[in-house]
Amino acid sequence: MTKFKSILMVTGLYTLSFLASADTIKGEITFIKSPAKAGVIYEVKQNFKAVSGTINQQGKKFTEMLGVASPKGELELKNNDEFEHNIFANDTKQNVQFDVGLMQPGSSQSLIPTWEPNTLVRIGCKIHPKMRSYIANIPSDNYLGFEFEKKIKNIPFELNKIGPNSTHFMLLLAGMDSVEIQLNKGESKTFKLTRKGKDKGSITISRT
Amino acid sequence: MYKQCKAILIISLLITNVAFATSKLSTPDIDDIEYPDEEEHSQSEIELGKTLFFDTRLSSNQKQSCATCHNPDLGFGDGLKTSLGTMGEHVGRNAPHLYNLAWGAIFFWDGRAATLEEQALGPIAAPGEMNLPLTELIPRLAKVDFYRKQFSDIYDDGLTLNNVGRAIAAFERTIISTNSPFDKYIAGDKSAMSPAAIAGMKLFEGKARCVKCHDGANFTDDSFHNIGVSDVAADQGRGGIIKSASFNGAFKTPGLRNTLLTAPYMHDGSEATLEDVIRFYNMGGKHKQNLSNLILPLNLTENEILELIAFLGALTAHVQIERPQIP
Repeated sequence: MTKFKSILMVTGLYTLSFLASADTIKGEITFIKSPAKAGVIYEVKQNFKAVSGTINQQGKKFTEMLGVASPKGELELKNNDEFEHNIFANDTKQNVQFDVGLMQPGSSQSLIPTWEPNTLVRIGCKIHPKMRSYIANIPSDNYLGFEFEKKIKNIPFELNKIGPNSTHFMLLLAGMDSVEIQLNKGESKTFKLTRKGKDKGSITISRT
Repeated sequence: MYKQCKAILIISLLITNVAFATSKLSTPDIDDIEYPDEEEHSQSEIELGKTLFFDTRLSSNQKQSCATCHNPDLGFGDGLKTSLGTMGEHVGRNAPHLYNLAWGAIFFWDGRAATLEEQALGPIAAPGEMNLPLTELIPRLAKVDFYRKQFSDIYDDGLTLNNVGRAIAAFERTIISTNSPFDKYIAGDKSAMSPAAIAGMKLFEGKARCVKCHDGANFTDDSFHNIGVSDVAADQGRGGIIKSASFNGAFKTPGLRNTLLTAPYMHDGSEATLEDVIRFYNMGGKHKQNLSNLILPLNLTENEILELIAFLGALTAHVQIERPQIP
């Protein structure tokens, strides 16, 4: 079923017309074997508008594999299911631990990301261990989220509206090491994707 | 508000998926198996794990192997209501089958192990089961040339407890059943299941409410439910692990692939046959304390009970395991 799930570049015509002077970064993420479940690439900013996201639960699943929020925003967890859920995170490595408690069908919970930014954390349900999603806390309002398709190993992407003075970008991938990227206008670079030091793929990226 | 930049990349049947209250019954996809560090197991690691699985050195008095309670010839169970430990005492719960644990999300009846690797070591050390202190396991295996060499060849750090768990888990991930009449039927072979089994499948997904818990490719939600099998005080199940009263008496939903082979049933082996199981559900469970709200009397007719049994039988696809030579 999910073979129909594809990558959607949300650059949009109206984005393109938004700022004629803004830069664009384009690139491709390549996985050697299994793609990560989710990821996000973003322009690291000092000042940014609050970003909030929503993650729904339905059919004993999270309907989104990725929720994104900024430190000034929040994540809304919505139980649209006929079953109770109990969403939690227990990422000792990134020091992100919470438990929102039992969520009855139809209820919702707001989650303020008070933990360190530049993190991508797995969340689950204590009642339904198969449930999995990821939440990103990013210092940015300009980002591109990925829900990777399991059999697609090459994923092109494009992020627009890059500020002319911005040179700092981050790629966070579920289960992999984060990639910090410095990129000036006109530059092209390639970085390895790794997990516990092992080669898992690459990202090529160029800025125009 | 910056939505134009927020490219959450989904088009999808995700939307279709969420229209279902439960996961669709299907055939498991090998690509969905999640290996530790995303590395598939080598054949030598699998063979090593298989040898360990059948080796009685893993029990204190060397009379019991993993395969004693998880006998491939008995549906990876032992046919007993509750298993016997190596010292002869009952362990209190029925031996769960091992089919398709490669897709499992949590292990043991009470979910106390988060990974197959962790699970693999549990019964070895459990006093009521194989009763071998893990501190004694490695010196015992190290006396065997075969193990010393194999562990050294396969793992950078050689013979360690962690690697014993990895090897056994690697073997367990190969116990895969995906070619049952049900799988053939949903793949398009409409003659693969009998009319009774087809009717049973409709009941399974409908009136009998089985899919409320037994859903997805392996017919389990890997969740925990108190279905009213026994007195909560007798065994707290999941509640005893996570110290939450709402889970008292709740046990993991077992997958139903090859369920015909895995009698007796329930966490305490209290139901001898599949017919007994269906009659149990038909009455809405036996013990009402802390009973899941998913459990309701079903009002199934005698014919419907037989149709459900026919469908459960259609989930059978034997897994042939050739026993290794123990070094």
